[in-house]
Amino acid sequence: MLCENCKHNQASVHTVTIINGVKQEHYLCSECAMGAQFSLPTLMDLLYGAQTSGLQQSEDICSCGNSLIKFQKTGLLGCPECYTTYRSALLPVIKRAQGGRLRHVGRKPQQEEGREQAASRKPAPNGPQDECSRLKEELKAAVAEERYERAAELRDRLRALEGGENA
Amino acid sequence: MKDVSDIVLSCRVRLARNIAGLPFPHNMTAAQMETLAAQVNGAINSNRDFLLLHMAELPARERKLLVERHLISPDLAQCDGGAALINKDETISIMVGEEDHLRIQAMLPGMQLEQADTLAMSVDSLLSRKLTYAFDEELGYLTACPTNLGSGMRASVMLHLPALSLTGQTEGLLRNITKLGYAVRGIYGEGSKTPGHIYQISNQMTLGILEEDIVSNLITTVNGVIEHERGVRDSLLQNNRLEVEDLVFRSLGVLRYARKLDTREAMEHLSNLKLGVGVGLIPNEAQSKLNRLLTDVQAASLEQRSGADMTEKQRDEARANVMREAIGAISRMNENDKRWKQ
Repeated sequence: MLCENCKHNQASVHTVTIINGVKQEHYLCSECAMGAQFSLPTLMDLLYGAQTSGLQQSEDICSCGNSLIKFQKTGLLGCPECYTTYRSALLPVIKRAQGGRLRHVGRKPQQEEGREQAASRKPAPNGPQDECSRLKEELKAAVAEERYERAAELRDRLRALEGGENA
Repeated sequence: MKDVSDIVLSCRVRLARNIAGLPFPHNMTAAQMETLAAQVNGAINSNRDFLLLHMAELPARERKLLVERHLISPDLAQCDGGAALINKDETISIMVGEEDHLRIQAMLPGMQLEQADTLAMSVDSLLSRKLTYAFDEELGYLTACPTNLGSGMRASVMLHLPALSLTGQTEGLLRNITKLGYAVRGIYGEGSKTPGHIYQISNQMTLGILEEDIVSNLITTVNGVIEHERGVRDSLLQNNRLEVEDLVFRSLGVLRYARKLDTREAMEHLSNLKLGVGVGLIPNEAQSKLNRLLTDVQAASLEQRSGADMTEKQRDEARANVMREAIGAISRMNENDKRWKQ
């Protein structure tokens, strides 16, 4: 088999990575494997599903000085504010990395919680009321993102919770 | 619930948190990092429940020891500006200045994932009263890498899977698990070489899923793996009893009398003895001691015990000494047990 990079030498190096059950294989000659011409899948390739289209670039630079190009290289953003600055470019990346999900449904920090919840927040599992509202929120998100299997699961759990013993 | 302590070594829940208005650690100055560590310490450590450790002040050997005991990540150990707050019973570790400002980790022995979650949540809750987290209504807790967004939660379980591993079934099984959105990695080794047959399974997705579901889904998955391992153990014992006994008691002999042991060999034989406990060839009381040995025979733990840096040759000798002492004690404890006598 010929090296898939230079298509000239015999391939002698075989690399396999498995991410989320997706197997990627590369057959390279030792020169290409050693050299810089070909880089093995980076985090960014994985986030993009190894597509070469790359990130939609942004004219703006976040106040922290970190550009999208740097993010592409390292997989790290510069500061929390980057998520606002580069939001539209980042959303597809996030969607891919997070199995299609784009809406947080879990716990919230103390300062973010509404006044009504702040007092009841304890380091213990939340009550059924809380569980219901969170399930509803996730259900809404699941429907919006067309994840119907998950939506059906959530609907059943909600019914069970709301219906109590009768469900 | 059935006892799973022969298969599940420990559980961990790790929460990634960042402070609003501050660049992520890789983008911070040394002074900012120092202020951050002091802030976190001030927020949670007024009762001095935690030991504050600045990486820059720790010798390499002690950093390595913390990594071996899973109290800090290898990345934090390499980061001179980083710090860690560790509680006395070593169940909670707050890493400051790793990839994110905070990595809150709760670790408990055996299958106690829900308890680990509760523990991590209580620390998180205390910290969130004093620090303003970077949080977005839509994306949840904001993290340096988008793979941790949302809950910021990574839950993991460390499993000892000797029967699946010895019969060559781990790769297929673990590949199936990764399809369900979990990451699997071997501990104490690179790639497919995992001396000791110890694996860690953790969730990959963090956004758009309730923390409780991350935890309960992982428990379901892990229970499936445990059942599988048990099944293979039973059939091994039924169909190849002599081979299993030979494997276990040969290892007992080596660990009881060897004068030199490298890590790989030590881990292999320890794994066989743990399998022996699992299938009832070795008394149950040995289990906790064997689990303890898994970390005690690692390089930095040996050096810590001797109080000095050691060459590889010295470590191999020290490792065999530690092992002989512990295995000898287990043997004496059970001298009347007929299983050991035959």
